[in-house]
Amino acid sequence: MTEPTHAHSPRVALARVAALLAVLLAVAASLSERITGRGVEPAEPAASRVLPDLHDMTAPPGTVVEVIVAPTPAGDSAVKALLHELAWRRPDLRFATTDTWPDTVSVEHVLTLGDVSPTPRSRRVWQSGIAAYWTVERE
Amino acid sequence: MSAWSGPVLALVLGWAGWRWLHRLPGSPPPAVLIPLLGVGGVGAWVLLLESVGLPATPLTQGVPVVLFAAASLAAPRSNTTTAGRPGVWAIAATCAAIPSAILAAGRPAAGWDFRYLWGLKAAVFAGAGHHDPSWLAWPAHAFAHPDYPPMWSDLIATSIRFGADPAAAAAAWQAPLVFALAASCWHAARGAPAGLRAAAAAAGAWAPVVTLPVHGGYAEPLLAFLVAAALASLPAMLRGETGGVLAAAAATAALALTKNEGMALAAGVALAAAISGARRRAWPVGAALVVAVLAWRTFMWSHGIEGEAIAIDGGRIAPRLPDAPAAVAQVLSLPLVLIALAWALVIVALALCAAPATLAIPAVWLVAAVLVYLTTPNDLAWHLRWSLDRVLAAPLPGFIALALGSAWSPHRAAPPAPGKRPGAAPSA
Repeated sequence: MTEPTHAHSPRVALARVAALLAVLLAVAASLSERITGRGVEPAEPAASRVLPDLHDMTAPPGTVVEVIVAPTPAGDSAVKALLHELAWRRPDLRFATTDTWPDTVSVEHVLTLGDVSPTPRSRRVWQSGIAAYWTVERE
Repeated sequence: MSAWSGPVLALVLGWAGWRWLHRLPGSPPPAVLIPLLGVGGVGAWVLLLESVGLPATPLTQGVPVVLFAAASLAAPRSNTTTAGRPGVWAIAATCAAIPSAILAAGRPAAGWDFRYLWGLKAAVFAGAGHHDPSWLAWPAHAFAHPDYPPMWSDLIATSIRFGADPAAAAAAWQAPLVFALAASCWHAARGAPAGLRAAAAAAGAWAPVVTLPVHGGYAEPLLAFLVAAALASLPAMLRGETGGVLAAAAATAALALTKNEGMALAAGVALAAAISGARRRAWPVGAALVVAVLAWRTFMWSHGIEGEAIAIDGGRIAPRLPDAPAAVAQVLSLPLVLIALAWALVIVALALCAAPATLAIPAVWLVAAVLVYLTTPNDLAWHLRWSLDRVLAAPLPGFIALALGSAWSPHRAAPPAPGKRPGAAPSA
């Protein structure tokens, strides 16, 4: 239960000043975001520039695909960025690197990026740019 | 043009809902209620389709909306017209929102969280016709936060199902959200002079989370609108007016399905309803929260979809506490400081003049945010760097509007009932 508040009481005056200042600060924050350089368009991800178009990669929807990336000086962060971009390019597929591959799922489809080969039992069925798509024969 | 299919569908649905509800006492104006019922209705319908095993398609999403809109023509018409001509300040507020809406809608979404989180999941949901649990549960997809409530992705997916490109679809949604946010701020600030209401609306329409290209396609504009809509409905809800209660319930359910912060804010609205004098009449707000949270969490649990391991664990929190100030200092920037100061002033204004139950909303949200940061499995400074500005900025426009409205129209406690001591606990 609060006591009744009157329009000209000091607490109301203080609340009004606070609310007005909050408006001004919010506007200033919006302006400063632009002045400090965050108003620019986000750059295209580096992984997007590296990967070729994957639309004609002949993997049916729902296929789980192991991704093997050739060693890169950029390390794990570059591999992660490539995985994110692969998911964006082909949301109908499920990609994972060897490190994150679930034990319960057998590897039957492989996508290699760069100068690297999968197991000898693999057969290349598609290639574009640095990407090659392979199917793995069952033992 | 297919990018506009989702927003148009939602607005038709919202219009139909508004025809049924606008006569109820305390209902927000159409500029708030139509988009609120529209986005909430689309999100709820997708969950309903999923629960009965039907795929979301243009047919299963479009036909029911058309039928509902046709049925709404039979809704009784209001005999009284409460809305007069828009004043000059209302027109000014609309004019302020127009360029922001055009800019947002004309710029295809390109932010990181859009490309690899909201937009990605929208493309997956659109392709599968449902919240594809096998995709969400795939361990390598943890980066896309499979546990996040799905409504923003569902809205984008609706347009994708009609043939839209995801980036264009997300951009098209921004336009109605900008207007809806501005209108909600205008309505939440009622009680303040019209010029200040226009300022609140403009501050909402030009909030950084709405207009910055780096945030293009993020869920924050939707979150900002839903918070503002909930706050715009709050006074009527606290008075127990049916229209205000139902609008607050719709906003609460939609918030709970929009980001984890939305869930905390929704819990705050429900708590405000529970501790207010109108709690018996405001029960739909709590029910909406429970239903929305359970709908998504049950889906997650039943399919083994996991999120980040955030546990309220004293063993994890205690070592973080000494490092927290340094981590916050690392991410401080001028905009962040300004936003934090604005929040402090808003809390002061609300504490001085708003209904006491109102403070439950920022309190729950703030506690939840602090706990999430203190228990995050990520590096704290990294987590703060990539989220703190948005976490603080998204709900701010609605709260600023409410602070303005409260400061110019201070809450007056109900006089004690005859025979009761002043200060005694109020009866429900």
